[in-house]
Amino acid sequence: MRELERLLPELAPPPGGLARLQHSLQARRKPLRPLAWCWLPAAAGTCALALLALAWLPGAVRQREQTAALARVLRQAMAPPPGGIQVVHGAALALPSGQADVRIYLVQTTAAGGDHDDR
Amino acid sequence: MLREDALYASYRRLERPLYNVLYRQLWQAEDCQDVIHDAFVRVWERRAKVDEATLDALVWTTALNLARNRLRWRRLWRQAPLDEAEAMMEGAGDTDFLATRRLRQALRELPAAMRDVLLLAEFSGLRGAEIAAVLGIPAGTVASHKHHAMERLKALLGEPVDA
Repeated sequence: MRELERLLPELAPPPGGLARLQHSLQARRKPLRPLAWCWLPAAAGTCALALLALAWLPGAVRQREQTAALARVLRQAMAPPPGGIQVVHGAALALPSGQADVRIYLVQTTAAGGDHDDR
Repeated sequence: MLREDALYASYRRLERPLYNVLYRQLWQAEDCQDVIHDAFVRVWERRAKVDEATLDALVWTTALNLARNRLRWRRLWRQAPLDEAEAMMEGAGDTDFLATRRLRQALRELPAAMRDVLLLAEFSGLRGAEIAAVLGIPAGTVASHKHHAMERLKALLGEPVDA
């Protein structure tokens, strides 16, 4: 007999408490999603990366080809004529180059035909 | 490491005393059920570190802390439990309703430490040292807290002190 039996009578808890706890623990034991679904975010990420790569690759290849073509054209333009530079009836004027190992000359023909300006 | 069947055995042992202690703090049956459930779930979540020998004490401590948090939350949002009004509407007698209200008021007027000791001593079945461990107070104060709490409660309710 408790001392405060009359003031604090013993109450019965509402039923179902243990079942609720068992249910909660079971729910915690189960994986939240089936295992197959766990791979879904990774697979989606991989697919997205692949699509991005596919979208980016043609543009990159085209840009690379354009750069190569431009470089080829520039090389052709800068290449000396076959047989080297020949000055016939010409005069050369030395121009300041700004670099010690570079000489710049303005070459002009003094007679008609075969005008060339070359460095 | 805590086993599941040990947790359920503890639940069967403690459900009734926990409910009686918590009800005199929260005065709301559903809140008491939630606190008991949440306390056991929290203990289960820490099962790797739980020693079954001290399981019951851990459940008591966890449940009392959760109840305190709930009371704080209620005070913050100025919520009042509805059980009293529900009991009246369901046809409980006016006398019962008023007696419960007086008891609740009297318990509320007790210092929290004394109220906890009184309720645990009445319902938990724990010994003085165990109550002290659960509440984190010196073992020597449990008996004096209980004595003073009973005197004050009886005085507040107009009961004879030596009854």
